[in-house]
Amino acid sequence: MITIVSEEQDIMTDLTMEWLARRKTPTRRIQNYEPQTFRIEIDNGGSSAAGPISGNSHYWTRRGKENYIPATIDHHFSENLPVYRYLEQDELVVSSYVETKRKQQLNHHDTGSFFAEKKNNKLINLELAKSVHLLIPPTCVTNSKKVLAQFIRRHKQVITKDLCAPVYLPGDKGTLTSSGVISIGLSDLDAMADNFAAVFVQENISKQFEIRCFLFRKTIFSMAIFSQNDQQTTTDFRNYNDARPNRCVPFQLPPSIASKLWKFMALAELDTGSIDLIYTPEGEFVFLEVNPMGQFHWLSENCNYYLEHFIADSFTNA
Amino acid sequence: MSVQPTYLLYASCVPVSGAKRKIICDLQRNGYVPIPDGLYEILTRHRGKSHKDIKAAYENKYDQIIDDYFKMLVQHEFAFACTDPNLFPELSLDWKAPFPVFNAILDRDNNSAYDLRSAVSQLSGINCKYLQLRFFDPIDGAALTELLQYFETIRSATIGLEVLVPAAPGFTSTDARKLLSTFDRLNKITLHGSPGEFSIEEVRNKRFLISMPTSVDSEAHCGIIDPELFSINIKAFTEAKKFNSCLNGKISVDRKGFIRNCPSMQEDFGHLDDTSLAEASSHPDFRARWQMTKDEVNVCRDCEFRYICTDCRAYTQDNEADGKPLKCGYDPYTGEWASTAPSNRLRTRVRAQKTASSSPA
Repeated sequence: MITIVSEEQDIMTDLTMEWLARRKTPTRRIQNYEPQTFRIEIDNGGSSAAGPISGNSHYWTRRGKENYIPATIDHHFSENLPVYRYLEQDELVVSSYVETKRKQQLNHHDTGSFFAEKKNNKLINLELAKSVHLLIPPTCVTNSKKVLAQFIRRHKQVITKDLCAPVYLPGDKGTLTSSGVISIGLSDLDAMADNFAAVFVQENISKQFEIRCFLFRKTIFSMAIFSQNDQQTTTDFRNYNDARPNRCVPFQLPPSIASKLWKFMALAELDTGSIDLIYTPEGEFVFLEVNPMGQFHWLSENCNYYLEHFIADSFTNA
Repeated sequence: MSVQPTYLLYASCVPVSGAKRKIICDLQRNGYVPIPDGLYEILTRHRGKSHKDIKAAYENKYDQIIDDYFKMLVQHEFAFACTDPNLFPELSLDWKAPFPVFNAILDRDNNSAYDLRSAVSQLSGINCKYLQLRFFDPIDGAALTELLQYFETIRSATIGLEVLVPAAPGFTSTDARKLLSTFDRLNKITLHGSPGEFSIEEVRNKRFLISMPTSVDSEAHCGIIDPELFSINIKAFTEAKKFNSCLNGKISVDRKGFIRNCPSMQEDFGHLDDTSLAEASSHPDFRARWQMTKDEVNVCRDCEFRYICTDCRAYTQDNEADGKPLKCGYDPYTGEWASTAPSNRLRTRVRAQKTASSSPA
């Protein structure tokens, strides 16, 4: 049995499942909101567990995680209530145990991890990248206006982006979302207090183009994104221009860079993820970040890689 | 790494040569542009060579022209300058589908007696993903609702359902909107023979209501070749390189219940009453129709549009299997579109076919 944990809307899961169906491989899809029944027993004779842990030949945690909170409770409490947060904390203990056990049992037949996504830390990752001799943008995180001003003065062209996940705050007067990657200058500081919640800033790295790499188990697929021709996407290709999409083409990563990315993945304890790089006008590769559960359908489609076929094959041939 | 800049086409921009003209197909931005013969040669024979080497290959006689060509290509975002062309592979021409049959047409008119539910459930059984239901005569909205409800009760791989219905008092745009809002599998309803102008309305997320004045009262409306209908994208282009761009992966049941590659094809592969869709679709002759690429079709093989063209194997020149589509007005040897399509011949042909199909099988 191949199990895939995913979100309802994830198209790569849909497409991969078609290939698994073609091979008549028994496959189970668990939506991240679907409540799962489980059992864990630990005594002096050993431990046993049932539920999503057992009976798998391969387990792919594509997006999200299994849900162990029954619908009756899930629907009863608002996610903002302290009691719900308490239940969630308890659930994480279960999830963490289940994932750990499963990874032990399945050895290398388990791909992706909710906890890898959860503990994904941009700052630690930058240090890991640096330790494998990848270039990184000079970076600063601070809650002090003084420090921020010094950093901007020193690096001139500076951008800011989310330190963790994108902001998404629905409210009475509309939804508050983060603006992706934006330039920040000294004048932006005028309205700010002397201290604030952590702000993440990096020197703006000039680009010839950006590179998006999808890594899955032992293989890398890369795409170059020419975001520099379009004002709208110069700082961040995610400011999509639908009428005139950025040119996205297959890219062959040089072996020296690929091998550094694998070293990075090993240190970050990731077996899959999407890595963003910048290719500078000087021909250097600069590491930006990794998204363990990032989207890669657009990469697959623009480069005609058929990643759904590759992934299904990697489960059935393993 | 070479220090000489090399200009490369973006991988999704693919040059194609015709007898008279050459074009670049822009598979990402869904368009095409004609290019001069000389530029086609530079982009194909000299791909990956540095700008300097290309100029040298023409003994530096055309330096200015070559500069201008690339300036124009860069300006219009068809090409870019790089120092290491090895980092930029060409687009893979792979085309794959998990299941052999992935699109179906079911035709209905007032006299249709074949079991529509059986057809729908069989299509699900062979994992057919896209289904077009064409009603030639006015229908009762309740019957369509019932069929859509039936869909909800079966485990079906059919996720894209498109329905063509005549605009009539029994089925109005209000009825259509209601269905599009209710049934997730339903992607598109086209009300043909609608009063007023052609219009497209997005009823909800990617669910469309189309109204068009043309009435689709028979299968003979199909097969028109027009630049407006070209499929200019990676999927269609790569498919057309290896398979027939119209018939590949297609199965249909005509209004009388005969199973065909498409409802307009003359050859049938049995009747739905006694032949299963799985059986018919695995017949070697049925599959053979999928294989004919435009590279094998007369005239089309010399046409620069051959990998973005929708093709038609039902209405062809001289009724030949490898004849050019009858409803195509383009001449690749002159590079011109005829102002009038050969409509007279078509009408005769359609009349002949109608007579043929009304006789007992």
